[in-house]
Amino acid sequence: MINQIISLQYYQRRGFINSLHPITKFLGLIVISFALFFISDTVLFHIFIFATGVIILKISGYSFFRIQGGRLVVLTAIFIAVIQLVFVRDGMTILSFGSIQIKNYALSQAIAASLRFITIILFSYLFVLSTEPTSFVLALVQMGLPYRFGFSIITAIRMVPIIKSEFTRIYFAQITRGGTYKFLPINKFIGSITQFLKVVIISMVKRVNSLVISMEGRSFGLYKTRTFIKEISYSAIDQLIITCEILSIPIILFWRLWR
Amino acid sequence: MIKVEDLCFKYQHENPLILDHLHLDVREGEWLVITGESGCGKSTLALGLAGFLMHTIPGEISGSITINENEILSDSSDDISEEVFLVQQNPETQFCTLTVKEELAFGLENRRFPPEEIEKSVSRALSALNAEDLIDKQINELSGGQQQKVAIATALALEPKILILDEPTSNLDPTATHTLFQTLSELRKQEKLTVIVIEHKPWIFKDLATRQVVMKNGRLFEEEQEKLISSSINNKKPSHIDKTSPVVELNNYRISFSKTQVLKINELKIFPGEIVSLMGSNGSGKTSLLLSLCGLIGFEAKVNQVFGKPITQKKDKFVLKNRGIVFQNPDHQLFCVSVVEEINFAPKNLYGKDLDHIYIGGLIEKFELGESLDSHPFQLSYGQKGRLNMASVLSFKPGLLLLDEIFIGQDLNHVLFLLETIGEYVKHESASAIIVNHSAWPVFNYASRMIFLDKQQVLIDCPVENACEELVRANKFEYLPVEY
Repeated sequence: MINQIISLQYYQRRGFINSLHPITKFLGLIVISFALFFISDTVLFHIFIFATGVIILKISGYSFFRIQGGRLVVLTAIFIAVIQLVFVRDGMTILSFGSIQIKNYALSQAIAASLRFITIILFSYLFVLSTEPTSFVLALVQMGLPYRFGFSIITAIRMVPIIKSEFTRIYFAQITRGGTYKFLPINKFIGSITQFLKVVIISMVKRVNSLVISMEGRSFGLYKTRTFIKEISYSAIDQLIITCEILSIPIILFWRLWR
Repeated sequence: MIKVEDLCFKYQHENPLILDHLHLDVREGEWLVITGESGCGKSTLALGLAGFLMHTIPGEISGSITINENEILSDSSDDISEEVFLVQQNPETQFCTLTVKEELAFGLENRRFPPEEIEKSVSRALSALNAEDLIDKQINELSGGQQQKVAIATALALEPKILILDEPTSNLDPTATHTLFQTLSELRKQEKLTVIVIEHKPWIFKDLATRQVVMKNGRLFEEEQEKLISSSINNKKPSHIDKTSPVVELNNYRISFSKTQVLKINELKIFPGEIVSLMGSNGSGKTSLLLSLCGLIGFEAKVNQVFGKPITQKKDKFVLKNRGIVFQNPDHQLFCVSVVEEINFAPKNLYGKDLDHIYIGGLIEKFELGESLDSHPFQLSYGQKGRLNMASVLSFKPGLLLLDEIFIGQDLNHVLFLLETIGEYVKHESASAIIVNHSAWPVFNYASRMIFLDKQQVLIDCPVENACEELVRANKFEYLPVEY
């Protein structure tokens, strides 16, 4: 188990989830999100999917609270639940705090809505933590996506730490020269944001120019296709899971229509 | 091997020719160093030799560039990329994948090499640089030196005949620089590689380069090495240091990130009038120290005082008025639409009043920031932007200057100018300065004290007169001035 806060990025490790084909995992993420929205009124189903996600995350060696942004996600889920509890007025009153009454329907809606939110995020985290971006791009290219579009995903991920560090440095430079982010007076606040964004944008344009030179200098886009040093294929388990995922779509639709 | 004839280039929407009827001949296996003032066109020439001026950079071009008898200005840049490889100034920004192996394979994959051949080329390139251990590393885990190695390995995997490096040492500490040059020297002999290096510090190539040329106003001139390395600079160390009350006083000072200690200082005092040269390898904690003294990052300490007050992360006016920090990258520190406004930015924010226009005009002239007062800061050359950063910090007269590798992108004359300016400022304002630098020369001629950080702690803290002996004693030979 990793004890310190970890960034939301791919980590190379052995395990069942890591060994799956990226498309198997991606399709799984889509089917789960689809199911959570279509089977929206069954709390038990939400609890079951959420618990499954937590167990998979635990088996894979991650703790939700130790992933960057994990705590914010939990707080947001609680906020969604509170909103539902306070504003949904249908059903019977089960609890009352002064003028605030909690209805039974509000409680089930609160649990379902917050679990839906947190479960989708949890499975997305699982996908990001266990899927190598290059393998995902390769999988998309194998499915027919032009590699030039696929690589935009990788270059975007590559730029994230650079942008993050530049944001900090620009902010530091602005603050140490007396720049301020006090909300009032509002024109000064907007001015500070404009100054910051201008430097960020110019800096990013320069980064992109440098990247273009680097990529063009290595024949990127010269041919319609390219080879990949990495090779990925669907295992028997992948094929079985993908079959289940595809079959579950009509079942979910049938459930929705039947209810 | 390379023949450039009557080459002219003008950037789109800019008037003067950046390359002005330029001629150059480079023989196979040569190690050519191109030096010259910042903004004189060196990087533009590098882009031209790598085939980018025709296709990627908008502008007007005339003349010819012939590489191995191919006129590249009429070819596509992809064809020339098989002959020439350009390593840009900051390798971190030119990596487009996430791991070292993928980065090295990238060009070969684009050229549709079969995976088995790519595997062989990647291994061969890394072993040529003794960097096989890096193959499975994530790009964002690499140090500055490792990044530069990977950038060169990326080139070697593609087997170019000409390797162009644009300021390869700007982000490297002397140890990494030394290793890089040894590697390049061996590769040149083994692989008959032609190496062209653009560099502001020609003296570091004293025994390696076969030829050096100087660029002035878009043209190249042959120049003797000795003339370039002239080091007859008088000592201008601070003469009066007031040791009664320290500006900075630290005791049992620790800086940590994510529970990892990045710097530990048992005791440190810096006095008014002192100019400290802060040295150390990449990642030794130099920048962290400067940031923490401004209260920009957290720390733990028994005693921590700057100007007699504890350092806090609260951004109060006292802290901001007394500490002037200049960061490495000038582009990150320009917030206004004109040079005048940029110089006025901090005084206006901190003291609520504009500086006198005559005073600003004087600064613009002194720092050679262009002819027009209304020039946009981003229209200036890299070196000018760096000097503008310096002017905009000196304009509000802080008592403690914290300068983080401000000499990157400055030619020797401007490095000397900045050092002179810092010396004068410290003397007249009774201020102190901490200068983070990798190159002992010429900073040692102006500093009063050297602090060397190693393995996240202070290894040497001595008067600059003893710095060379102490560096020898600590086996840090790469950090010694060339003439030592």
